[in-house]
Amino acid sequence: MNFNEFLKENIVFLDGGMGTLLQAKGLAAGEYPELWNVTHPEIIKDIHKAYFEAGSNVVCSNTFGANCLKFKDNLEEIISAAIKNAKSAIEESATQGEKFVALDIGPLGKLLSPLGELDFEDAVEIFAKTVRFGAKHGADLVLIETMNDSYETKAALLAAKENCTLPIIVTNAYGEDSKLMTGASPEAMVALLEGMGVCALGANCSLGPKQLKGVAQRLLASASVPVVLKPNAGLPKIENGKTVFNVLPQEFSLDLAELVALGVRVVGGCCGTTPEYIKAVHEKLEGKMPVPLSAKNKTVVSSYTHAVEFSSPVLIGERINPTGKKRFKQALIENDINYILNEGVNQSEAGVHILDVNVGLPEIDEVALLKTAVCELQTVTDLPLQIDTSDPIAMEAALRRYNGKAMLNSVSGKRESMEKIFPLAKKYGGVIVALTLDENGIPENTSGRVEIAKKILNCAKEYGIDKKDIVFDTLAMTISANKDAARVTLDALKAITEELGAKTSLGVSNVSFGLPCRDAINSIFFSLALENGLSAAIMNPYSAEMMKSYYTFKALTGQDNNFEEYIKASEGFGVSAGVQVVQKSAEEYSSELDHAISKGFKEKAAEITKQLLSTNAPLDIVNNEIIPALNKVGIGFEEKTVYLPQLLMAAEAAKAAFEIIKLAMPSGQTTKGTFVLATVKGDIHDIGKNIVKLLLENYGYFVADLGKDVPPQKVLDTVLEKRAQLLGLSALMTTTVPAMEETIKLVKKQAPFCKIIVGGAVLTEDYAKKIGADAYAKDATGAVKFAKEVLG
Amino acid sequence: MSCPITINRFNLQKPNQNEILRYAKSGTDKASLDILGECLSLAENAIAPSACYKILDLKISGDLCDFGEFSVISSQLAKNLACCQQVAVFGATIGAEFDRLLIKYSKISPTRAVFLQAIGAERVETLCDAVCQEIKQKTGKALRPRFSAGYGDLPLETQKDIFLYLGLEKWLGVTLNESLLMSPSKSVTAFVGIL
Repeated sequence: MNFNEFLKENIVFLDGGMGTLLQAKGLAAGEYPELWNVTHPEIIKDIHKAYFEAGSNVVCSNTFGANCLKFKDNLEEIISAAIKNAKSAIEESATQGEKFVALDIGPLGKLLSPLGELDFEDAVEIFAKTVRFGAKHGADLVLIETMNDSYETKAALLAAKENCTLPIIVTNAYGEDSKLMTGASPEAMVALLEGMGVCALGANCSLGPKQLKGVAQRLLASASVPVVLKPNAGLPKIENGKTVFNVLPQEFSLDLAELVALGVRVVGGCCGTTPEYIKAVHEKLEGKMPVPLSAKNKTVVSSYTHAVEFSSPVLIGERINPTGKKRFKQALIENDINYILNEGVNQSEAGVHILDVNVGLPEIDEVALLKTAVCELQTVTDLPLQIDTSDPIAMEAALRRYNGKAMLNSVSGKRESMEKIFPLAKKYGGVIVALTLDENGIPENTSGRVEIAKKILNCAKEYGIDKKDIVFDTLAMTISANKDAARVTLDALKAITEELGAKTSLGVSNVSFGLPCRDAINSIFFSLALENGLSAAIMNPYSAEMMKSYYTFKALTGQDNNFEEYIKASEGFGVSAGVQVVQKSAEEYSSELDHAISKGFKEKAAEITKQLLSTNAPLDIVNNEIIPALNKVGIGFEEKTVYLPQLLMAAEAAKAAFEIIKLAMPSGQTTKGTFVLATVKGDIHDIGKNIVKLLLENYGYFVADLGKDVPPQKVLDTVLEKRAQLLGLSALMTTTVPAMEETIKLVKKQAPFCKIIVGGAVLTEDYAKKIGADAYAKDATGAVKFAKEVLG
Repeated sequence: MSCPITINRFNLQKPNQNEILRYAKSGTDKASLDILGECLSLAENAIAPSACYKILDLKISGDLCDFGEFSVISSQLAKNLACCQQVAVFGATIGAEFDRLLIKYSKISPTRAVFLQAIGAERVETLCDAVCQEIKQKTGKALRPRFSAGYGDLPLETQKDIFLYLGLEKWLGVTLNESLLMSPSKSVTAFVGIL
């Protein structure tokens, strides 16, 4: 019987701990247990055998840390020996029952970027090597375990999917707060793992069975696949100078039996458990039938922290999209990722649940930019993302790097579209927006759109994609072109909801195209759509009218307990976003804008700038208002009458004013010169560098920010490409100053036209000279002064 | 290699605002205090303090500090630990989610990033105090001041041993990179002599 068949009908018994048993056999502190597969095969085999004889159906190969980071030269030898030891244990054990060997894969001990430095693709490749050897040497399944980070979990799972056809189980290490260390909830993990097609999922390690009960219940409520539990033998404590676990086999088996009665179907033990524990569990549960599986049929997307279920109306922010937005297009062309990030944060604060991400413009490399945008957005927001592109290659690049289960926008009823998009959804998981149009265009009547929806569902089924993972867009068309357009869209929405039992989505704003006062039409159309069953709207969350529709609908339809959401949102209903009453400035300030910037009032600075633009030229505002205000704050900082946070608040306010100025100026006219900025290779401290960037931008310089941990060659390439006259390098640690020196040498040799200024905690004026820099800045204002000297 | 004692629940004392303002090089004007307040509430939900420690027998001969499971050479640590029969070695972190906040605000608001850095520094210090308090209670003995790798002549490379013997990756999810920096960034390891 293969493992998948066995899993369908039975309670599956895994094994227990390995480490404690090896220590008892003499494994020294700090010694790699995986080496013992080769040096002490008999001992490893005997432990596996003891587990089979205690009742285990599956033992995990002794390969928890078997990866090429730890075993550069002998990885295959270790993995093949490990599988062989487990297989011999099967042959030698006399007990009845199905027996399997799982290739055990644990975490790499390195955090993935952005929290750590390991690149996602590098992690995939490291896991891939382990998977290939495991499959080659005869493992029956893959068990990825003790993962405390969702992103690393995804890397391991992707490597397993791409390099073998074995069944895959994934178990994560949840903390006492029922989250993974990097923040994911059980529901988020179920979305990610089921989306990618694991055969079972669950929790292991970190806690005892009692403490994991809550996590187990939440997994059971969300998962349609079998749930696995492999807890520790309670919590460790010290007894007579030795570490022992506080739950004994009998109690452990009672706890697990209780969880099996709730629906857990795969059980075993982790740290502190021994064959005795598994024997006790086996005796308690032998011959019992598992609780039948139930399909949950929930439409769910997830981020690295939480899941969003389409059970009440979902708002998808539409603002990360260049269509019709001049400033956004300019940001894309200039590779100004921060602009995109701010749109993400602002929409999140406005109350959307998911962010649509579209960066498609003819003149840019969409594959690279979409991937970057998706990665970067995940550093500033924990909302799930909807990846919006017509290019399947860009779609895949972004999906790969997405830390969760994304939305894919979109597929249509065209054969070619389905053939490209469905395999991506199957591989990476995801909820797909399906447009009800096909090779013949958009049907003008309701039944035509419903027919296309049916066709899409049938095709999805062929790819193994469930109805719950498809959200139909019945296409809002402008009523200015066809007065019945809205009616058809709404009727199709209702039909798909009621007849097909599927979820729906609409790009609401299209309905009013070409008409004045679009918000009025959009918001009423949105209410009508919600009443007809709309599950999700791609919409503008900055529109107060749209948000009113949403909160009122929920309040009126009993979806807002105690009207909490409505009451909270209603505070903002009276005031349209961003407009605030400008107070009279105090006398000591030369103007209102000076006052706003000096005091660090962001919104106010933006608002006053808007007003000033009606009577002043953009550059005049910069030269007569913004720069003098910043100079004043900068001098205050040098004289220590202004503190660092105040300087930064002023800089942020000035930046807000600049954003408004940029809108009013043709692109390319805003910059006084290019300044390349980087934290040197090996160094990951960038707060100081980011402050320098902010101030330089305030003074009108174009800053090409290369980020942190930047190799010398990349710095040089950028300097050459931009013909940059100025380069700023930062290093915080003594260990990374040599990398700074190396970078300076390289740039001085190949790009002598470029002046280099350095800064960072360990540097001094003298040291800067010694390593060949042109200047040293002790803080951000020093960097601005130098830029003024060189560039004017 | 026995596993260390891990503690996942700490009721840390309330943040010390003066200390945070000092770390942030901030004044006490209203605008700064407002942002500090905002950052404190952002941080509150992102901090998950946890720690683990082992108590080891100690032998000192000259500059060699022998902890049984491993040893280091450092005259300053030897001096710090003189008169101690035992030493606690611990790792502590306020968690990875706090780093997400730092990364987010270093991109969208440097002002808040500076305050968050300061809050993180204050919190992890407070956490270390709580860990020492716990060890003090468990052993019923007085403690020497904490001593970390990189202080004085105790090489930063000692981090590698501490990570290996405490299993910090497994028990706390703290990892060490090639420059010997820890992730999550607001993490500390230290030796504490037990008198």
